[in-house]
Amino acid sequence: MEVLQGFLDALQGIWTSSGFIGNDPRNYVMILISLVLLYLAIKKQFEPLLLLPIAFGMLLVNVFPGITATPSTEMQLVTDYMAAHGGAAGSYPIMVLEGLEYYQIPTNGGLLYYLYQGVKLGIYPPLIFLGIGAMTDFGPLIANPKSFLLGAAAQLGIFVTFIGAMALGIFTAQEAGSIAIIGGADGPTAIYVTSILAPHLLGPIAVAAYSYMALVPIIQPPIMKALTTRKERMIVMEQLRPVSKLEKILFPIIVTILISLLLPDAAPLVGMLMLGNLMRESGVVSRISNTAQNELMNIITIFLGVTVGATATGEVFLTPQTIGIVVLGLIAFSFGTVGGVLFGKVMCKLSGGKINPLIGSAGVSAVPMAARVVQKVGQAENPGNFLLMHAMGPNVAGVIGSALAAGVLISILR
Amino acid sequence: MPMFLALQTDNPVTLSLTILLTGLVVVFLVLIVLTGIIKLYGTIVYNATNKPKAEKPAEKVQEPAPAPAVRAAAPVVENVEEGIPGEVIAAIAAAIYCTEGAPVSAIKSIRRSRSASRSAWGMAGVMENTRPF
Repeated sequence: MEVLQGFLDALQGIWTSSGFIGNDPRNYVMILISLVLLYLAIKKQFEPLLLLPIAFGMLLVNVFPGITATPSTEMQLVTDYMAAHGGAAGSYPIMVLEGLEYYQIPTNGGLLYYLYQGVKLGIYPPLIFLGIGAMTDFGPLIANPKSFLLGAAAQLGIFVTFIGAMALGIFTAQEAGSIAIIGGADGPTAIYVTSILAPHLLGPIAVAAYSYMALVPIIQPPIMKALTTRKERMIVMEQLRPVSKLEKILFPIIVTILISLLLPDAAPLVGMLMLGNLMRESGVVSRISNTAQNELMNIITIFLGVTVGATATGEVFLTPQTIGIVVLGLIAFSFGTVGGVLFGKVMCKLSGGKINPLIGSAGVSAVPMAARVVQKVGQAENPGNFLLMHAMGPNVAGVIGSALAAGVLISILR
Repeated sequence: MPMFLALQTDNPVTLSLTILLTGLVVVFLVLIVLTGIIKLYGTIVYNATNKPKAEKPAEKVQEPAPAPAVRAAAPVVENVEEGIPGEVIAAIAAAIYCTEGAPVSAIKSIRRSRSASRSAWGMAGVMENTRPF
């Protein structure tokens, strides 16, 4: 009889500690959303390398919220502790409350709490930038430095969205800055800025940023076509000059010195981007360059994806703010494209029709997808037009531009 | 720090416009300075590395002997669809030469394929787009 009672008590204990009892109904909605995201990642292959870990992190945290629990201290009466441990004393600090002695027993946090420290402390995004730098060829940008201006113009989306977010009145300035950076079309930058300015919004902002990056081929072409004439889209640009190795080696050093001195808040992102690029271009550390763009990048991607996804609990995600973030993210992307294309038109006029304004839209970063979109839209009008390499210049300039914009937002709003 | 202190304002309009102005001016200024620096050192390095080479080709001008062979092959591409530029023809010819080798002596026609399904370029785009960063 005692055994049966013990069995029933054990079952009841398992049931009461299960997710079915403890979880909020919003967790189940989030589980459904995570399943949709998993479907999009696996079946539709929308940014699967990131969306899959993000969606699974979202699933995990809503099934078992304790996986992100912070470490805590449990108080237990010394007498109770000793009774439970056969009279042996513990080696924990003792606190006396109302004449009773308590052990302060530390309990560990959840697994994802520890992995999340890389996001919280701003470690993962710069490491991702290290890998991006090791993968990026800045040659087209060095060959045509004017591309930098297009990379700057495409940051318009960030600052316009900031105004929009503030106008809504439901976001603080720090939250508005974090949302606005979605317009940089750069996942790690968005995560970096949000982790500093508004860490509680990491989940919705990361999901919005990566979703819109996957949708660049759908969002950008209508805007590009609306703002340009057929004649402009057909402009064939002159071939880029070859860039020497010395120029490529000097580039990351000069950019790091200049930007880090002018805008120290952008130094972690730009510095690591340029370190990765110097490793690539110097040609003397191919082993660590390969590690940065492969193994390290992959490991950080897993940690970043899962932990960012795990910030999207029902409580945080299912709010009117999330809808605001999704809408503002789209505005940010669109205005970034508008800024780039309009500035491209200005440069087209000033250069006497030598610059195809379409390449301006690649200034939003989203490397290399935005450049591919330019190639595709340009080739639709003129099949013999190859704009890809010309678009890569503003595209990589956009990465530097969005890191700069991030530095500005952090320095003003922190 | 002074920038932050200057923005101790409760007025969202003031803050928004300040961010817009400061952000665009700072990003543009830094990138304009970078443009200038890169243009400058690019010109210096490009000129420095190309100068010694400019004198050398004078001695080796007779070297590229196979030129007539290329000239003879070019008119053989008789049937080229309109709108395909010379660079593309050259790239196709080079690709065929690389894969087929010497036995292929002439290309008779070049035309666009009319496949309804996703093109190789499109497939490459999908592969590229689904890779993050």
